[in-house]
Amino acid sequence: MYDNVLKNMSRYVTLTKEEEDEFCSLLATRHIKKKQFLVHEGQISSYESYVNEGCFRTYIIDRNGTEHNFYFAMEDWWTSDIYSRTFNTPAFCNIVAIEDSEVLQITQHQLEALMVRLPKIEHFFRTIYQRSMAIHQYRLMQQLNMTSEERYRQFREKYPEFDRRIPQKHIASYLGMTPEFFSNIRSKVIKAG
Amino acid sequence: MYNLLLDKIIEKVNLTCAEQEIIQKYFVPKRLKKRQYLLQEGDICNRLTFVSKGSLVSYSTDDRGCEHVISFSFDGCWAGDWASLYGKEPSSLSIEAMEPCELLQIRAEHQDLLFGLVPSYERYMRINHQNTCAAFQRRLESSLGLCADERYNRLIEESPVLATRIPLNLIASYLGVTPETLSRVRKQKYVCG
Repeated sequence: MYDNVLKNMSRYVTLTKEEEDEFCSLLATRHIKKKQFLVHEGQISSYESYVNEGCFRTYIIDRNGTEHNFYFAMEDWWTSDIYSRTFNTPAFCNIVAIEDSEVLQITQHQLEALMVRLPKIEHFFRTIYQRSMAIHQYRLMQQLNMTSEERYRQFREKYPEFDRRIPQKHIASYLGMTPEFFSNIRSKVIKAG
Repeated sequence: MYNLLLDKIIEKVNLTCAEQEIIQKYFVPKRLKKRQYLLQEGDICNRLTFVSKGSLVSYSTDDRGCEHVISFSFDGCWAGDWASLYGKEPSSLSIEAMEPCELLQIRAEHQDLLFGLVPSYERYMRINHQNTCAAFQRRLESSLGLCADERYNRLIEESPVLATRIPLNLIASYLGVTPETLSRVRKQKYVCG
């Protein structure tokens, strides 16, 4: 059950058996069915979640009721409402399962205490956030600078598994396009190879 | 010169006097005049920059030559091209001084050494990076879910300093609206109160 998450962490830190056991003892397993929520708008969400199985999307609903996707996560990704969990405020976004999923969860409170005890865990999350900052910056630039076709091309290249598994309407929303427009762009990109 | 840096770190973690001295040794002062570059697109960003005084703007330039603001950094904030810094790739951002600046810089590889020498510094950076990721998430949520006047109001509420120190065309670019739209939003706000 914990093999994947430990392998994920071993990319950046080497934990002893005792440290691994301590970390895993704090993880709670949760099964989430397709269309069930991991985070609900308006509620405080204090969990960091590791996706052991399945796939999630994070979206916001605008004042017209339109959903806008802005993150996806699948096996071996970490997902959370980092704003809500950091500042202990109600979530603005929703995180919902696209497939039947299993996550391993730890509360922010437990994580903070663990990081004080085990600096290696601190090092791990500092590294993860550092990478996340780079991805966020890239995502903003993509939104501001690139044409629709470039955006989709890069998405396919960077996340081939997302492209294969996530319904097209959700990818369209993530890339900021209508489903019809996205469908045209997609055929064009696939045809061009 | 180092006071603000140390104050910011001590806000989040404890530091002994000896640790404060070690940290100071790793940071090198740099001054910029208004409109001078800290980083130009295509350069490798190999330093993290702390703003002791002044302000910086980070932006990307699209194929048509339009500039898009990614972030602002004021006194007490950090700046850098995170993708370039941590991925060792040419920068896709430019960073420019909006006001005369006094900066403190640390090379990425020196920071790695410093994490080993002063674990509290790594803790501070983990907290800082986590907050930055949270701010990026909020930025994505705002850009997708809110309209121009809501985005402006939230920005001014969260960073009142922006309204007095940043040229309006840069605020407009940050919000992803034309200067004309921002001007209309502001007129409405300040006339209607």
